[in-house]
Amino acid sequence: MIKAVTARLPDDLVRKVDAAVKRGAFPNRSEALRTILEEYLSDHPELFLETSAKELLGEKLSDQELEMLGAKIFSGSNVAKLVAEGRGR
Amino acid sequence: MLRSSWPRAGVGNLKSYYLDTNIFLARYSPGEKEHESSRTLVDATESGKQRAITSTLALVEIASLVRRSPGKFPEKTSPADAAGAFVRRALSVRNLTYLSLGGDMAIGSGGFQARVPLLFSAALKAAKTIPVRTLDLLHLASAYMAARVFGEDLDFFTTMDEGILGFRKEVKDFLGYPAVTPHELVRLESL
Repeated sequence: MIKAVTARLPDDLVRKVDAAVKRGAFPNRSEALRTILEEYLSDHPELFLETSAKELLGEKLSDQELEMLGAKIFSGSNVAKLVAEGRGR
Repeated sequence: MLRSSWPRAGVGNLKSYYLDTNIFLARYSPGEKEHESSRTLVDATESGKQRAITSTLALVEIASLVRRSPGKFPEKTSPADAAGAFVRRALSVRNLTYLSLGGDMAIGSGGFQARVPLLFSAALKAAKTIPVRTLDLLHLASAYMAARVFGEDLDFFTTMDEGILGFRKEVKDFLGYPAVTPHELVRLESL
């Protein structure tokens, strides 16, 4: 099903789209806008993840701070073994 | 995605290695047997003496392992905060390139066909000769793809994983270069 959508676009953007249609890159405006939208959405899957890259990162800590943190949280453990366990062993 | 502006692996005398997740974590675990050699290796990478490549899979393993770490977390640091901090640091290691999963390829024939990421195709190939677990296969497949898909020549597959190190011959046959521990690499390259 195809829906008609009204969008307000700046003049120069419309001129660029029309120029691309005139050069034969697209058969018409609608097809041009469909292709451009599809490509953008395909290049940005993060838009559908409902999270941002920033959210995935924690605070910036120095190597010394990370080593102190590692000493606490990995205390008494063998990290190679923990990684191996995470891999199903 | 490769950080393509960086010098390519294997160019000149600059040696390149695949860095397994456990090495990054051992670098921040002072009680770990391979802590010093892992630290030397990561430092040598950051200073440009070596180049390293790893899979984006490593980021997920780091987050997962830190999050479920059995030790005691400091009062003001939640497991999620700690995981985020380690992931941030892993992403910021200089001269460490993260490999993407690659595009898709069709496998199968006739009515049985699926489009699978290139990484999985390479892992299926590895599974034919190396009997290790799924995530081990995915790391080996990443190292395999580094050279064949992204044109990044590697000299070593560096890991502390005994499952992988138990199949050194098969790994060398598959990748074309040896699997070594951080300690062995530090010694071999006089780092």
